[in-house]
Amino acid sequence: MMEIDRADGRTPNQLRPLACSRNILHRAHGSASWSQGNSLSFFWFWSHGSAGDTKVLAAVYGPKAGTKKNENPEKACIEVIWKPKTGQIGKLEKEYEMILKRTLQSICILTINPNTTTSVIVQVVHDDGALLTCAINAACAALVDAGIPIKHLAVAICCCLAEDGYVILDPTKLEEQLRFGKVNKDLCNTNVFEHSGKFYSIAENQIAQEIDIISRETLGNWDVNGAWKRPFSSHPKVLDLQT
Amino acid sequence: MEDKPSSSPMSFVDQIVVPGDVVLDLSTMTNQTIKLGGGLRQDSDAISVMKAGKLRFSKPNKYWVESSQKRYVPCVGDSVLGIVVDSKAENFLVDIKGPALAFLPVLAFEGGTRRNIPKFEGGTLLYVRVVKANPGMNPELSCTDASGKAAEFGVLKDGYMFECSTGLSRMLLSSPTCPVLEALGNKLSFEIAVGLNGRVWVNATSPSTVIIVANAIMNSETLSGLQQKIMVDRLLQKIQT
Repeated sequence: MMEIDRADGRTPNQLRPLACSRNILHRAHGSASWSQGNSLSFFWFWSHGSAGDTKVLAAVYGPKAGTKKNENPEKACIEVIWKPKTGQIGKLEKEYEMILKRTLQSICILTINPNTTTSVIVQVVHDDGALLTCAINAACAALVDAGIPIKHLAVAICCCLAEDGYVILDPTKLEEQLRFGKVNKDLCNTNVFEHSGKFYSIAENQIAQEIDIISRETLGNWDVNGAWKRPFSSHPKVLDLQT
Repeated sequence: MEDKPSSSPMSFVDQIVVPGDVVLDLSTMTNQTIKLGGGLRQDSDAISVMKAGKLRFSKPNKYWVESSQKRYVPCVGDSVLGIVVDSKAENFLVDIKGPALAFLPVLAFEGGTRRNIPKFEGGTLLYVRVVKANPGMNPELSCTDASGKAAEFGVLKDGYMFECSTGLSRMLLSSPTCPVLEALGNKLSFEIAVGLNGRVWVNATSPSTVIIVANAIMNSETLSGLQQKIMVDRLLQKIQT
């Protein structure tokens, strides 16, 4: 079996050291911090410009009376607020909130406290890969600390594809950004179409790239033998003419 | 995933359990009646844990999970400290740190009639008893005991109220007397009201006594009986010098 060399010396299946502490925040009804990684890795700070761990702090408030307008009053409602380390709240944060809300709703017993709202606030302390999984683990630990009735614990693990299609667990941010071992500057991820037996993937801001439809490997830029250097529309429409 | 052997109930009793642990398998126990307390739920044939804590068993057939939280789950018969939030025509709305506000009927006082309804402002601290606690409904309170007498329930004037966890309240109310209260009571004189919902009220003649008592109680949560005694002795020594 081929061994993959990971930048920090881990084997493909090895996780970073985990650390969790509960009841950190005085005012919150339940709180927990979850970190994956060795925060003492100053070497990584200097060589890669970032400390080597992902740390997330989760706080739970509730259950408090009342639900929001569109929520079912027969059940308890879970509200998730994601706070990034820096910057404005954008679509990515909203997506994380939605994923986290669905996950927590599936483990909480919603029929026990009807017409109440439990707020879960997730604060990113540091991001070095596997951020969403760290947040799920922290939120679950905070729910347990707050005494919210849950069916079972939620556990999350992050995996990504490395060189040659190997799966590695708990990637760092650097490993997440590499695709197939190489940094992919061109992301043609808007659409795929077929032309003369070959398949191409396109985006509105990049030149089209030929791909192998089975292995999804990128075969190279499609520049029509040097004749075409720009992108073209990436939303082809298929007209299904009924005869 | 390894197969978990069906565990006998005795193996989990007095152990820390986390949500999802299956503590009882009903298919192996036939013709028995089991009473489940807080923190446990029934999932067809398996009894599983909902809240993290210690599993307790009392003969002949009661199981429950003892946990300590910052919020309170209202139970009938508990004495709690509530803070008045609002007053309506029929009820006072009282906050008891539960999922919903509790109602205190305006007539639920000893000798209460329509003519002598007490006037409580927002923020008044009351020592009350939980009369009804049905799931999904607001709990109901009363300022009298079961027979209708006042029995120490009512407004708590002066003093200082602080919040703690439900586990600490239970420890303070345990009998025989909790070591920290005993050690404090030997040297200081104060009065104290403990609510099972994680609120404690202390009153004494001098403010310094109130502060000493409050700090000693807040520090005693994770200490054993002997450690509590030592902590109180050290605290009182510092004050005297």
